[in-house]
Amino acid sequence: MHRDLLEQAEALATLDKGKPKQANLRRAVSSTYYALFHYLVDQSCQAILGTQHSRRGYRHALARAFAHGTMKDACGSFSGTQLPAAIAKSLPKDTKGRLGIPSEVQVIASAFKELQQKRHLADYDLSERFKRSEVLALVEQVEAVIAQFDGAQASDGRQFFLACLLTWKSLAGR
Amino acid sequence: MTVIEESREALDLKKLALPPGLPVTRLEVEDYADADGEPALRVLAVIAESVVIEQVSGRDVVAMKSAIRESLWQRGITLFPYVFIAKQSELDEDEDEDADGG
Repeated sequence: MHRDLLEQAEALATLDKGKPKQANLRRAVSSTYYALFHYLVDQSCQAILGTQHSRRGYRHALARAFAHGTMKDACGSFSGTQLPAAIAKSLPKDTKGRLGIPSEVQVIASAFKELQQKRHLADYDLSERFKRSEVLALVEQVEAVIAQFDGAQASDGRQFFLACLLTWKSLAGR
Repeated sequence: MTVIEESREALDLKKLALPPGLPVTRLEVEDYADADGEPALRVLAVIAESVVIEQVSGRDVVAMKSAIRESLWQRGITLFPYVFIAKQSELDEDEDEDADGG
């Protein structure tokens, strides 16, 4: 799904020969966001339920429980320098006392937070004027963060991040 | 010094380690709030006209945005920077349209 959405975004952003129509750029931004959204939901469902083909139906059922706002809040924390103290206190730290948030988590979380805001502008704020450079750079950025995430080794920090995408609202509220 | 003044210093092009594959000619920063009302920064990165955006690597886009974020963090600025990329010619097109009432 996410690959098709990224292809769609690129096609929309390059559809017009001259100055691009705002409608095409806005739909491209939205498709780029949804590419990242569906990729992260799929990764999270696989982390929680496993990757077996026989569990595909369970993963699809669970995928409907993800909330955009919850994912944005989780990504806001994971993209920054620290997690809320109540959560961070029980997590393992390195020798310098830093949390082990892998870099691929930090960049994909940051991209998600950014894309959700831009999707909001694209869909609801007509005063925002999107540029073709901006939109194509977003598509490239999302392809890069997904490739980095796919290429990184499994880690506890990554698994925790993926679980938090579903559970952050109740976890951070405690 | 205000957060914006501090941010402008943090985003001094001479000091930022930006990827050569995505040459930036100007960075502008202003106060911003996201759709949830969370305070943030809006950063405009004006890229060189010579850049063929279709050929820019996504890794360079990530590196540019990461360099901006990290430079702000080093100054203790934790506001999230929403970075928007444009060429000057694209910005001029908008101004022409506004002047025409379009």
